[in-house]
Amino acid sequence: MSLAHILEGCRRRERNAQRQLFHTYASQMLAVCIRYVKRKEDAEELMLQGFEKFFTQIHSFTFQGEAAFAGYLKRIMVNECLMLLRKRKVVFEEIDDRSLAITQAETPVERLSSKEIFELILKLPEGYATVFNLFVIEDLSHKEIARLLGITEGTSKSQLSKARALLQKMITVHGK
Amino acid sequence: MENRDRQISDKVNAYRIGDFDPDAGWAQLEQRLYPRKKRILSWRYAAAACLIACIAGAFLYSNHSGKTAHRAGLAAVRLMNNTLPAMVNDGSLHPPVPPEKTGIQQQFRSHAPVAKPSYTRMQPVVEKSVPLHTGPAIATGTTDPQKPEPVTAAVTPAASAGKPSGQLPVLTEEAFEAVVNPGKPRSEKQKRFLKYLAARARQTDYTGEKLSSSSTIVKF
Repeated sequence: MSLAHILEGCRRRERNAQRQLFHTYASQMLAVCIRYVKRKEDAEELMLQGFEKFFTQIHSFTFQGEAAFAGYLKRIMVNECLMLLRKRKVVFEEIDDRSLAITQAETPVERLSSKEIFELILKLPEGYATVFNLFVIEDLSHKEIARLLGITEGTSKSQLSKARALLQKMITVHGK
Repeated sequence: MENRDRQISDKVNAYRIGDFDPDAGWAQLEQRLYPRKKRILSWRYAAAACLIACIAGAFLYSNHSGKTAHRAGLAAVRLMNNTLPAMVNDGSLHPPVPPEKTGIQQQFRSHAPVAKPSYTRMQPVVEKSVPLHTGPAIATGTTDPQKPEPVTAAVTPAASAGKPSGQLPVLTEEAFEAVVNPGKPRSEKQKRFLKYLAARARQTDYTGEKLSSSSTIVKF
């Protein structure tokens, strides 16, 4: 059954279709949520909230292909995570990053597995990780990030730069 | 986006959480989407629940029925005391005139003439073969039941209590209680009522004659 058919079933509130869609995307969406909130229990809760929201508001969604759908669903999950982070009042702290200056030539990203990179991102401080995820993984601009997080564009750029440097250092240490 | 960022993004997007049970997640989500829908219990739980419900229902029903029967009995007593005498006076019901009278019968006889009685209350009648009251009279003060007073001069307990003449002791709720609560000590009146019930159970009147099925006259 194609995704379009599954989504049609979801529109008619067919439980089998909803279940199939959930099974297809749950694991991927859980990974998205974990990247933002880190704790798996919180991430599961947010993922379920995101799916619930999608199923109840599915009539406002227009199917434009699988990639677009995955992006749409991911955006719902990210919004749920950001709502939680706003409640948590994440501090976009400035840490001393003089030791983080590492040249790009020393980065063996391709040598690491998906899981290893994922786990290194989880080790970033919450503020760094949020901006890094939004900019690098979700491909948002600094302007959009600033609006979503209620910070200035300068803060977003600064947080991203420091997140990159810290992640690079961790990758280097991990690769050795 | 830098090349390195793209590499990281691709790898991170390709990552899937391995230790996640989608069935458990779906069960939770289903509960949220359809909150009224309860998961079906196994047939063992369902059978046990049905059994418990049946036992509880039977217990409650039996208690309820007992109360209802008790209430119905009390209502019947009130009906007999209030409605039937009125019917007798109206002429709707005519209690038979007993050919012979024992002492206790005479005690509870009204002043009305034998030929055409006019009772305002039910007339107590006892079986001929079973002498009910051999001791002192309850209300009239008659000490010798073998010496019947003249019918026209009979004094009733009600009359002696200042009530209009011709009124007799009635079937009371206390008498009824004597039946439904047999452990209680019984008064003379209650004992007479029990005798009456025994006679009714045998479907005979005080002379031993079979009562017709349509007979509605209450005698004790």
